[in-house]
Amino acid sequence: MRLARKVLALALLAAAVPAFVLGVQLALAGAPLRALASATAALAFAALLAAAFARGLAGPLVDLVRGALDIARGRFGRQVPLPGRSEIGDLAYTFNYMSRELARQDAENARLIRALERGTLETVRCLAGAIDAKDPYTRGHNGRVAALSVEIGRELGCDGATLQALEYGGLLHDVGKIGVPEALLRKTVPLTGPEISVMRQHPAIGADIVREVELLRDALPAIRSHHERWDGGGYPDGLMGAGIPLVARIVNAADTWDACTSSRPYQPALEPDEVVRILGRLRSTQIDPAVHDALLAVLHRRTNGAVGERGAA
Amino acid sequence: MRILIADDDRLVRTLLADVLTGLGHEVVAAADGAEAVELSQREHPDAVVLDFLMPRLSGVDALARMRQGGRRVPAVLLTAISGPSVRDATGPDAPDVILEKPFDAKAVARALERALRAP
Repeated sequence: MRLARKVLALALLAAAVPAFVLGVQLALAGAPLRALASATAALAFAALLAAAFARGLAGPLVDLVRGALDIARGRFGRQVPLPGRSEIGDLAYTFNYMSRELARQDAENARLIRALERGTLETVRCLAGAIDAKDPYTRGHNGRVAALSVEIGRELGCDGATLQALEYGGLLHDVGKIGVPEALLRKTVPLTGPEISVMRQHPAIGADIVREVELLRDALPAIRSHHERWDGGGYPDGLMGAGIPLVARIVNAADTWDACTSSRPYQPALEPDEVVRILGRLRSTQIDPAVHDALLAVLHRRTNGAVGERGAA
Repeated sequence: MRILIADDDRLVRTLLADVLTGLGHEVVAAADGAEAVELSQREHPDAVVLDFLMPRLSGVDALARMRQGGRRVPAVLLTAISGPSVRDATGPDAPDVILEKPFDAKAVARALERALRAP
């Protein structure tokens, strides 16, 4: 309460002069006791008045400081009590207006960001739909891989930016297939050597397609490296183990699961139990063991959820 | 005359509308600064009575937009904070008259008259 101390000192100083003059006059008039009593009473009255005034001045300012700190911490909309009509009252009133306006602008910005994110996701889905149109056997595959990748990421405790990269990366992991001839994509017999090398270009083609898109920067590794293997035997870069970006390891596992559980030109859909056995064999050879375990946990939860829903119906 | 009034407080809007209608004016009302700007472009009021601190756009900012292109818009600015602080804060977009809240019917009539007479 530095302000209170200053006001008190000022008031006492202002009261001391007349109190002293009064005291001297009374003392000269031969009433030293009355002189002392009057001077003391004058000073005490001044001190009381100053204390009350200082409290009225400093209290609202303390409220305003608290309010300003709250706003600095992003708690927009915080209102302070109005201390009545004075310049300090005006300050509190204007402060409350500022706080409300900040809250309103903040909400408006949040709404715009959500709209922008929605628009981006729709554009990415549109791009993913272009691959679906080319390769009808994989219809819905990209969306399912994206959803499963996000679930695995959540199971592994990934942050929001990584989950976003998994969603975009899952949707677009096969975007490079736009550069692969349809005849190859629809082939039901095993591919020849040269055909395999054309097919294996799709992760690099996909990465080149989205390379300039700032918003998909985090998803880029998932597109380029989703065919790398944990043991280093994958393509296009032959990365190994933790050298493969995590988002790519996750999309790889989700991609493998979805490819095995949906029917393809070269194989019918497999039963989930059988796919789980296959995944077990791929653990630590193709699939990151930690990602494999997270995928099983997600599948386990999905199955239990589905049983629960059926039970309820 | 057609007068545009703008205040986020419904009570103030009702009071102003009653007073101004009683004086024989036609009244259009807005609940915030942005709405006031929209209404002024559509209704071309002869004068405006704006609250200072309104949501979306303050009375001073709203007035600046209404006066864009050098249009003469007689304006009364209502304010719950003291007039001198507002006058210092408004700068070149100053309204013709600043009227402190709370006000009575006579004060509104006088303020509007002065705003209309101002050069």
